[in-house]
Order: sequence, then C-alpha cells, then structure tokens
Amino acid sequence: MNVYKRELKSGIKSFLIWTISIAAFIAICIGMFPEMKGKMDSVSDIFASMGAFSSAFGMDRLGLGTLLGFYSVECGTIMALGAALFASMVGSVMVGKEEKGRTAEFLFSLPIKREKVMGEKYLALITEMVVFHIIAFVISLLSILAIKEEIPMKELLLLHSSYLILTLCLATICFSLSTIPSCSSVGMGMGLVLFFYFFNLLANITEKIDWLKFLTPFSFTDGATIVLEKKLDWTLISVWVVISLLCLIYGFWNYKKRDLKS
Amino acid sequence: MKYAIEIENLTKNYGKHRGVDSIDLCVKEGEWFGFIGPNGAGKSTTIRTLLGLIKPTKGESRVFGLDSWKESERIMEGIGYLPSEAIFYPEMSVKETLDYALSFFKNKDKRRQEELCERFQLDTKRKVGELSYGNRKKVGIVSALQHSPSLLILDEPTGGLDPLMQREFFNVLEEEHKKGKTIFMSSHILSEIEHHAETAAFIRDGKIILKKEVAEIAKNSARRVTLRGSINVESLDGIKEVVKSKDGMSFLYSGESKLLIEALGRGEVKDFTVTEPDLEEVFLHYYK
Repeated sequence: MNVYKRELKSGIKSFLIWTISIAAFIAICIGMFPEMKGKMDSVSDIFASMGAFSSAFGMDRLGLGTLLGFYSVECGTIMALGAALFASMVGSVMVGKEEKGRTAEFLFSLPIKREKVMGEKYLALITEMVVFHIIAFVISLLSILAIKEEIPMKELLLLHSSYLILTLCLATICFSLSTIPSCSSVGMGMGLVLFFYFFNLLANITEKIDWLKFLTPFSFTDGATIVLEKKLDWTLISVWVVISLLCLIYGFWNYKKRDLKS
Repeated sequence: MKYAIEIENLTKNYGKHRGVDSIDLCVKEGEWFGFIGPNGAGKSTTIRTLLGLIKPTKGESRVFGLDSWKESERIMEGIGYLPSEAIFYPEMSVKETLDYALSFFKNKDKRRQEELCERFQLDTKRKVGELSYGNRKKVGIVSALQHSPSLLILDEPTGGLDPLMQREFFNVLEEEHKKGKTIFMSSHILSEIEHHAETAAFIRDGKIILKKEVAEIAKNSARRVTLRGSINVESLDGIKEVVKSKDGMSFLYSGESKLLIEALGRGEVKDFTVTEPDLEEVFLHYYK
C-alpha cells in the first residue's frame, strides 16, 4: 500500500483546507438559523412565490423557517457543491499528475503493476471523500446541538448519504477521465461539476421534461424530495453508480494499455 | 548463452513520427553494453520499451526472457534504471524518496543505500525539489543501485555530474560489473563507452547502424587532427575529410599514432590538437 499511503500524505494539505472550510461554512450556516427562524416564515412565502427561481432550489416545496427546510436548501447547496468540487479537484489530477509532473518514469520503473497504482490511488481518493463526509456530518450534528434544536437524524442521514454518493460518483468519473492525458486537469473536472450543477437547476425548473434529471447526478441530492418523501431515489442513484463504474472500468483499461509519457 | 536483453524486430511509431525501426539487439548476461547515438536517434524509445513504459508497434523486447510489456512488474524487480532526467516528487526529502523506491522491492536492506549516499556525498535530509540537476542525478544513481539489481539500465548517466562524481560513478559501475551484473548504458559521449563497455551499438534515425566490440570500434575509429601550419598529408594512410583553412588544416586520421607524430615533425606545425571526433564524424568514418 505504498502508493496509497503516499497519496494520502501528499493530499493532506488540500484535504484539511477543504474539510475545514466546508465544515466551517456549515457550522456558520446552522449557527445563523435561530436568528433567521422567525424572520424566515414571511420570507418563505416570498420565496415560494418566486416561480422558477424557487423551483430550482426546491424552495417552493420546503419552508425555510424549519430546520430541515433551511438545512437542505442552505447547507445542502454548500455540502453538495463544495464536496463535488473537492472530489473533482482531487480526482481529476490524481492519475495524470505523474505524467504532468514527469514522475511516471520513476514510479513505473519500480516493480508495481499499473493496475495496482491505479487501484491504490483510487482507494486513497475514496478514503479522502468518505472521511471528509464523516467530519462534515459530525460537525453538522454538533452545530445543531449547539443551537439547541432537535436533530432530525433520519432525514440528515438520508441527505448526507446522497451527498456522499454524489461525491463518490463524481470523484470516480473525474478519476477515470483523468487517465486520458488531455482530460487530466482541475479545470476540466470543475467544469464538469459546474455543468452538472447548473444542468440540475434547469432540470428542476422544467418539470415537464422528467428525463432531464437523469442527465445530472445532482438530481438525486434534491433536498425537498428527500425530506418530504423520507427516502432516496434509488433509480437515479443506480443510473449514476452504473455510469461511474463503467467510467472506472474504462479508466483502468485505458491506463493499462496506453503509452506513458516521459 | 543467456541473454539479459533480447530485442527482435522492434518498431515503435508515435503516430506519424518515427521512434525506432526494426531494431534487433541482444545483450549477454554480465556484459557491459554501450548504446550510442545522437539526441533523437531512438535510444530513450528503446529503453522505455524495455521497461514496459511504451508498447511496441511491432516486434518484441524481452528482459531476463520475460516480455517487457506484459511482465514489466517481474522484470523491474531485477532492474536498476537511471533515466536521463531524474525527476522525483519535489516535496519529499532525499531519504524519503530513496526509502519510498526501496519499499517496492523484495530486497529492503538499507545498508547499500547508506553506503552509496556516503560515496556520492548526498545530503539525505534535503528536499528533492531544492536539489540541482547534478544532485538529482545522484539520487537517481542511488535509487537505481540500492536494491542490488542484476541489470542496470542507464540513460545518459553522467549528465550533470562533476568529473569527480563521474569517476566515482564509474568506479561503482566497475565494481558492479565485476560482480557479474549486466550494464546497458546509453550515451552520446563516445569516450564513456570506449573506456568501459565491451560491446556497443550505434543507433541513428531509429535504426541500428553498427554493432561491434568496443575494442574493434576503437581500433578503427578516427581522431580529428587540427593544426596551424601545414604537413604533407599524402604520405599518411587513413586520412579523410581534409579541410584546409587560411593558416592551417583539419582532417580525420585513423592510422598509427607514430606515423602521425612523424609527419607532424616533418611538417611546419606551430600548434596542433588531436581530439575525439563527434558522433557524426564517427558515423561518416564507418559509412564512407
């Protein structure tokens, strides 16, 4: 597990920056809730009547005056988008950096198979993402306790599970695409995530074209649906898990068969 | 006879660009083999194919009898590779880099690493990113030798090393060679090959143009003679490429040294130099 350990060690700085930043945002956001709770009842009515804008963020179905409504709209956006950008940033350079940094010749002149290098790097990526989500979840619970609100455990678990699955899917897709040298860049990964995110906002607005939601993984993190129905959309999740796994298989196959740049 | 390296009809194209073209090459176990060619001739492509970093377009290469592309992990266990530009993870210290490399091998004995670091005067606490080209090369040398491999593949190994370190490096290689290790060394410096290797192959434009024992190459290879003044070149055998200038002349000479010295003594010579010809001149010598 030499490569796995090295990846975790070399990525520790950016991991801490992202984890602390996102956790701090969530804590601040939850900390603002008691102050805004009373005011939000009237604001919620305004948001609910804003048509497409409120549909895009699910505010037409969830009241911002409740903890769950506030959490899934405000904290949910931070969590889903922040975690997805972090996943894309780490995933999209983890493989390609060896060739870009010209260390591939050193690494692959050691007795290790390419598949093993890929496998350990992927495992390091997944480890970072899972630990990131565990920390974010614990901070959320502690923040809710700090403002003396009751913890809606089931809904929170469902919401955070959807963010975790989203992150793992996007990390996998970016990781796999980065085995193509021209696709291995932070810009490419972040661009893909932002495209999916804004596509999700569009899909939320145009409810008549239902299949649009299958084109973005952000659709299964929709807070309003999860909170109101108290369940995850396993059809959408399955579609994106299968897409991610197919990308991963392609990534391993591509990295194994192609020439490495010096 | 056992071969450490066998290359058969190896061709590698990078799209429309030529890498190497139908190369055949064998290196015996325990042999010191020199691989000579100018930049871009195909030396690194051949080495990268041997290491399984790139896939041959046609033909095959085997190391220790194993296919380079399909069994690179097993092959690497017995290889020490020094790339022409040794690049490591800049955030790691020299010690961390060497330990990291050693951790992949079955032989994890660190005594050889310590001994080599001392011989090459490496400060193991420094970060690799802060090192000069020459010092990075030394890290590469220790990394290639520390696990006591049976085959050393060295790509332009002396670039960046000062003369003292070059001498130490060749001392270490001589010791390894005496232990029966195979050395495959690419270089564009003819003298490095002449002084150490037993057999050498010339590569140009992706093709092997000559493979001979070094003693034979040295016997036949010419020297560039440049002088101020004039001598009677017609009295000498083995003269080529005579170029006359305003105050002197230059020519390639492959005859006996004694006859050249006598001719210089007979002529009106104010000053003269005898140098090793560059590779193009050696190629010309063989192909004219």
